[in-house]
Amino acid sequence: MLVYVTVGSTGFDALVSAVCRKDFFQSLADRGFRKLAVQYGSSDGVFELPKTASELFGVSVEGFDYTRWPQRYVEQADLIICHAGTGSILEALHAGKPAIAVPNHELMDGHQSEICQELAAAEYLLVSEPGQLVDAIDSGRYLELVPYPHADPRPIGEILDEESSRKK
Amino acid sequence: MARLLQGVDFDRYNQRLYIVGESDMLSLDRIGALEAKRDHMAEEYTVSRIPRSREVGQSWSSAVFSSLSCLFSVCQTVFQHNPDVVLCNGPGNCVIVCAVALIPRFFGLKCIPIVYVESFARVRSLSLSGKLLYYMADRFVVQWPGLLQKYPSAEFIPHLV
Repeated sequence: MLVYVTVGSTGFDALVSAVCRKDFFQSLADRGFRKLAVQYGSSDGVFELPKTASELFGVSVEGFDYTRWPQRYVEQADLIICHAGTGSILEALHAGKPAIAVPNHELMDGHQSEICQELAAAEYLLVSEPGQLVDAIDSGRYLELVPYPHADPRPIGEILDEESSRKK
Repeated sequence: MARLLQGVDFDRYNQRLYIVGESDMLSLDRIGALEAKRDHMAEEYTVSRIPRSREVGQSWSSAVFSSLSCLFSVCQTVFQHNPDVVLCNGPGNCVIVCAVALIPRFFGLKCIPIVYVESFARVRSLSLSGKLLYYMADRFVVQWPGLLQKYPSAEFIPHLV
């Protein structure tokens, strides 16, 4: 089973550091995950795996800064841990994958966590700080999430049709 | 925007002008991917790349010139393509685009309706673009109901994305 960690188009040092720790690997292995893919963006400096093989607990790791085909990893993942960017969250939710969103408090706006809180309250995903990821995985609560409704953007088309045909 | 456009009839809107920030390569990719799905002639769509009005850290005095350059570029694009409707979702330059699109209406020449859709990430407060365009747009859509309290003229539509 694969866990896909993605930080999006910038970097997220705290998240990348957290997923390189021995306790993170142990909790992955305990829950049956054998593969980890980390898209670390500009946080390559903190992407440092444990030195000894035993500290990986049998989990094989792939790390890269960016990929042209994030969909491939999303499709193959059994769990997605993503920075709390709207695009990443929606990709995970629409792919029907359990997701843990991690807000990045270093980024300017606090509103990243607003969307996480709303979606977590509705049980569509889990929210976690980098330091709480191990607990989130150990709890297994990512297996109890509610499926996310399909998107229907047709009302936008209808609004455009109404406005563009209105007599001025 | 790519997600919102899934709901728009590209046969009806068979000429599409995408206005993107000059440095925004991600949007260029997305537009390419979105349009590639269409079984049509590539001439149906144009991408117009607009310079930023001000770079982070740029001095305010030189920002006057770059803002004018941005404004000129937007005017050129909008008046050349003469759109029938504008759809925007809040990136930096969209306020300038909408302001320019209102000019023909101001002079009684042509009414170009403006439809604004606030970002899905905006749960409790509007973006700066949203706060400005609330008073300029003909239709103002929000994706979370809590915003209706402070912005009662907005339309709440869930599950657009």
